[in-house]
Amino acid sequence: MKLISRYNRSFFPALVLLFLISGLVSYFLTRKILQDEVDEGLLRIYSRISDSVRIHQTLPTVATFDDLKLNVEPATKPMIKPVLESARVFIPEQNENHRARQLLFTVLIKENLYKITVSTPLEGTKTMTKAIVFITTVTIFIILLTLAVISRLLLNKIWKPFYASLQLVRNFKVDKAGSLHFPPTVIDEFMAMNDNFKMATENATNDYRRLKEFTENASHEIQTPLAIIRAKLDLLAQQEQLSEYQSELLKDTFGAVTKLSKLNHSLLLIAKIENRQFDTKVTVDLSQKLENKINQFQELWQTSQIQFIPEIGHSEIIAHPELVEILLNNIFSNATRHNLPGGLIGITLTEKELRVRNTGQFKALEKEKLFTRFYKESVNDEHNGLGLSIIKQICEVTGILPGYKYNEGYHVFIFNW
Amino acid sequence: MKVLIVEDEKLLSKSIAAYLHQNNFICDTAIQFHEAREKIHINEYDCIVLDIALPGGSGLQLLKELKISGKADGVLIISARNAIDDRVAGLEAGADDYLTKPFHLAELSARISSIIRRRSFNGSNTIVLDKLTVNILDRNVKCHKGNIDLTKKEYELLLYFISNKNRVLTKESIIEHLWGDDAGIANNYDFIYTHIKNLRRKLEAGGCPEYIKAVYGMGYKFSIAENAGA
Repeated sequence: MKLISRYNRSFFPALVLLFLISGLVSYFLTRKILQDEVDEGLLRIYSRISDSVRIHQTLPTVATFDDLKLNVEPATKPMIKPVLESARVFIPEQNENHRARQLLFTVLIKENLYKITVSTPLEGTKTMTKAIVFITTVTIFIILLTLAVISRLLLNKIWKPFYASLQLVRNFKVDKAGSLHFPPTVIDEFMAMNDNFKMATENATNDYRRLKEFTENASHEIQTPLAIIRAKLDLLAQQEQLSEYQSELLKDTFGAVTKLSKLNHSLLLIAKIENRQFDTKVTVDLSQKLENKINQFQELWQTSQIQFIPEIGHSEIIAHPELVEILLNNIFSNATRHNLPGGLIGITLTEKELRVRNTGQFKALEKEKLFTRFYKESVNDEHNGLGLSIIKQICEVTGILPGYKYNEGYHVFIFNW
Repeated sequence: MKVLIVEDEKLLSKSIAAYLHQNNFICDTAIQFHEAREKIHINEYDCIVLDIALPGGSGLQLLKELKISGKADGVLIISARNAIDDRVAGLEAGADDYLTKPFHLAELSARISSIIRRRSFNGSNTIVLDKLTVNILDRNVKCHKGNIDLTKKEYELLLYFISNKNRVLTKESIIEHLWGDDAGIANNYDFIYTHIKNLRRKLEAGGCPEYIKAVYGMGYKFSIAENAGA
């Protein structure tokens, strides 16, 4: 829920409630005031009638042009004070009952007691109350509408820098150099937020850079001692009088050092790809590259009795040539290494897709883990498990979508761009 | 054949010199930039093995100076930095080849031999070794029974053996030589086993004695019997 909706959701019902209450209050107040006016009028009439009766000793005459109704009837008991009350009176002209206020009092004329009822219909006040209620409602409606529009416009304007900052942070990539430039704002909270964002992203970038540098430097530094170990082992292997046991030891050491070199080499490569050191992209003739790669591998396939089916159409890709080379190398090596004797490798290149299928073990690989680092199908796998990870990294920086499926005995790797 | 090894890591430099010496190269070493510069200016080398990162200066700088002074020495760059920029810069500056650390000494030796062969202008495009004649230009291999028809990999393998004759070549180094560093087919020895088997068979059919011998656990060795041809 957007902040503005959340705000409106609380604010507007409260406002409506407030207006409803004030409407009701003003309705009753107006009614009361108007009724008091009527009552005062009735009391004035009472005093006039009382005065007239005392002086003239006759009953008052009813003026027909007035809404005022006067009713005189003989009474038995004198009333000490005049009584005001609400009642309903029948208006013959309109043929309906109306709310009215009436004043009851008794007068004494020539020894006879009369009860006089003066009543005024509240027709006028009713209309007025209606008008007031109507005006109030319309006003409330207009105020609510205006408030909604204003708050929307205003809030949108006020929150604009916030959303801009948010967008910046969302697009923030830890491996992209340069700090974020947040939009200027005069609001303290946003300023604090931007400052914190800036600090956090800069820290993240710096940490990331330091880590990358460390990885790369470490890999580089490892190269030299590795080179020395290898060189010494090479020399040791040249010794004439090595016993079988010594040879065995040397062989295992060689294997381990080779593995370590390859691992280091691969990690360094991944670090470099992640560091965007392969960012210069050119148009690469993929068909040509693929043909070259096939030539390189052909003899290997022949000796391993792997059948090879190429279907190579024309295709170009915008990428770093070295990365394409490594990518194809890895794809082909995988298809070869995990193949069966007398197996098959199929390579299909169309304009926007490369599809490599190969025979191999008769079960699908774990799709989710496939491209993660150090993924191995079996513990005995001599490979370091970085091949597919490198493939994924290269795909990522080149804008290729890698995919895998297992289809009727074939492991199929699909690359789209 | 005279080789200068410019490498600041003494242990590595020593090993390279020892190995190359066994392969009948005369080796000179330089640890520092100025030492290397001096030696390059005074002496003539068939090949210079040049590390890029040196104390006191860059190997690329030495390479540039060498080219300006018009010396004909072959240059093989060895570097821990496999960055393409480095490689491109090195080759553009006139280096003959580029090798990334860590490398096999056999590979280094083969590359140096190849550079020297390419740069030798005295018309020796053929290597004659015992009963074997290899023509580098047309990749023709002959023995006394006639031509030996080799596949590309078999030829590369033979040349690798010849460049390191009497040396034990480990399977790892053979794989790397044939398929490169990125091939990712590491440690799958079946691949080289077939190649070696075929190469042996073809050489034998061509009339060669058994040059390639398996060294238990380690790899293979190309050696010519002392009394061969006698």
